[in-house]
Amino acid sequence: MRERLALLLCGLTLVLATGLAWLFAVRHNPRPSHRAPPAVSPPAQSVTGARLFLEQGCANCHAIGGAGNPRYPLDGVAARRDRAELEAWIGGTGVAAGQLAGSVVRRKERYRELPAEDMAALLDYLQAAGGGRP
Amino acid sequence: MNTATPSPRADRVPGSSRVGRAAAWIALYLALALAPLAMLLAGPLPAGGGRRWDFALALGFGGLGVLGLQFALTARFRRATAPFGIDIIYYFHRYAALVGVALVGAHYALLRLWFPETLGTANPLEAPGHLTAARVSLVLFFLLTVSSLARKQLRLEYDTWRIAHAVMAVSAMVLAIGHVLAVGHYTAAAWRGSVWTVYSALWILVAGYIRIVRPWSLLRQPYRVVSVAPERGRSWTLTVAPVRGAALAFRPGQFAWLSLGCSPFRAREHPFSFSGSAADRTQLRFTIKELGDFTRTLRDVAPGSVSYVDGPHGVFTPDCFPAAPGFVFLTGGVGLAPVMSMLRTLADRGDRRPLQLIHGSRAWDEVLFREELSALQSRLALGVVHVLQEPPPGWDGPVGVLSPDVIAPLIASRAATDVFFVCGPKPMTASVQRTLRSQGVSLRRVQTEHFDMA
Repeated sequence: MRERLALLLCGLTLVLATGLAWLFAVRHNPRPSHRAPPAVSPPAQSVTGARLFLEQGCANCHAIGGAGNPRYPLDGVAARRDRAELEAWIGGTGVAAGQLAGSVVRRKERYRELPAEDMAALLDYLQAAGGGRP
Repeated sequence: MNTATPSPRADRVPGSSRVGRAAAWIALYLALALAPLAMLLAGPLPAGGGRRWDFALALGFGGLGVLGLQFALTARFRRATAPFGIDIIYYFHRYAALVGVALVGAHYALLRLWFPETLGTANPLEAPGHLTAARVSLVLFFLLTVSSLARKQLRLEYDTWRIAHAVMAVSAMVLAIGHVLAVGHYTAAAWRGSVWTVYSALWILVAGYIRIVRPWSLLRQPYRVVSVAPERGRSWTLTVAPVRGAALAFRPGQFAWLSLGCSPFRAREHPFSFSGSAADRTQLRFTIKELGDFTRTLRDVAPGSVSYVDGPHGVFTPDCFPAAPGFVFLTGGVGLAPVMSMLRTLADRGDRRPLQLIHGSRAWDEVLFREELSALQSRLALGVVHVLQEPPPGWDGPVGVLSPDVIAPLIASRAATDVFFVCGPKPMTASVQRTLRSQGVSLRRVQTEHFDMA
């Protein structure tokens, strides 16, 4: 009797939690989610940039072409920022430093030490792939 | 009920108001467990990350709510556990925690499946701190689950397991909360920051209550061991008396967590049934069989040793059924201990309702309380039937275990009216419950106790 009630309540908890999670997802995103179409194949010189985007943990917080954290997508970012601004946002310096949370700036500090050729490849990638969808 | 009977503070209300209280506590449980999801639904929030992303994320919130509540479930709040019986609360904890771990596991699995790039490297030197915190938390929740479900197979000693369980649970929860607050996307929005801080602090406070406040309150009510006396069937009766004042009031059939010879802060406590009469407020008796690491050391406990008693707990008691016309007790081995408390108490109260005990033992020489059961028959309207697995020559009673063949004819006349108490090894309890159901006994009139908590 009591065991049945306990198991029933466990089942109810699972169903309610999953149901409410789904309800939230649907209500908060009126249109079904879709992975953004993969950006145009990056040109040869930004293949390294694409690899760095994943290796350096950029995808922890950002997505390009549907790959990565959809919270802060970078599709079309090159249409909004020039190369110098992009570099500032990568390293959390200049204008970016004032607009980011302290913890995020601290996290971005490591990118200021990227070798120049890696930073260039990353910027190439953002400008090529990240510029696909303004 | 005899008005001279001591009335413990909690679970004093039988019947419909107990059902009402149970419903209220269940509603509160659901509200607290689902509060993180409700906070998400309450809006307004920053833009979503897509249905899949937000679903995976919300499952993590759901899991955290359920897992946080486990601290409250195991805090032994007597008022909250009384309508259900604390044994079933621990039984519930076992499965509810699994639900929480499943939700948190699904949170991770769906992110890994749908957004593999976002998880990045698992190397803690490279990965963001909040993702490492989440990974360690997940591993700890997994270890908690495995070590609890398979403690005996892993040969983990009970006391070691309990301490590891507490340390891992608190660490996993702190890391999980840290992960949520560090991500902060939804939790920092609008009014939520402070609510989240309070909600998170609540579970940590409950953990603090369990480890600090409760042991401290036990410290103020010490007991001393009076004697450790051998009983039949490799069992011992431990008697403790309060250092000052009266012993705690309990209902016959209830149990307590006992710390022997050590501070309650050390969390080396074990649950045992009271076996003495609830009418005796001068001392407490527990009858314990040598089964595990701790019970084997019982014989070495010296009289005068300090002990602490956290109780009473449980609803396995005839006092919840004051209007029952009679009781039937089906017990095996040391499962007789709580029933002995019931019989001794009913005798002290002069209760004349018809009682039937059907008790299974291995051999005649191992029948626990054999002589006292005979003596009690002169003070109670008590019928006693012994069932022996290895009967002596000339034995004309039932042989074997408490099988349907043995039980059915003995309870036929009582199946429609009496309340049944079943206590013994797990297989016996399960088999007897099936027999009772097949004999038409309503589940409401079948009481069981879960002792094997981990």
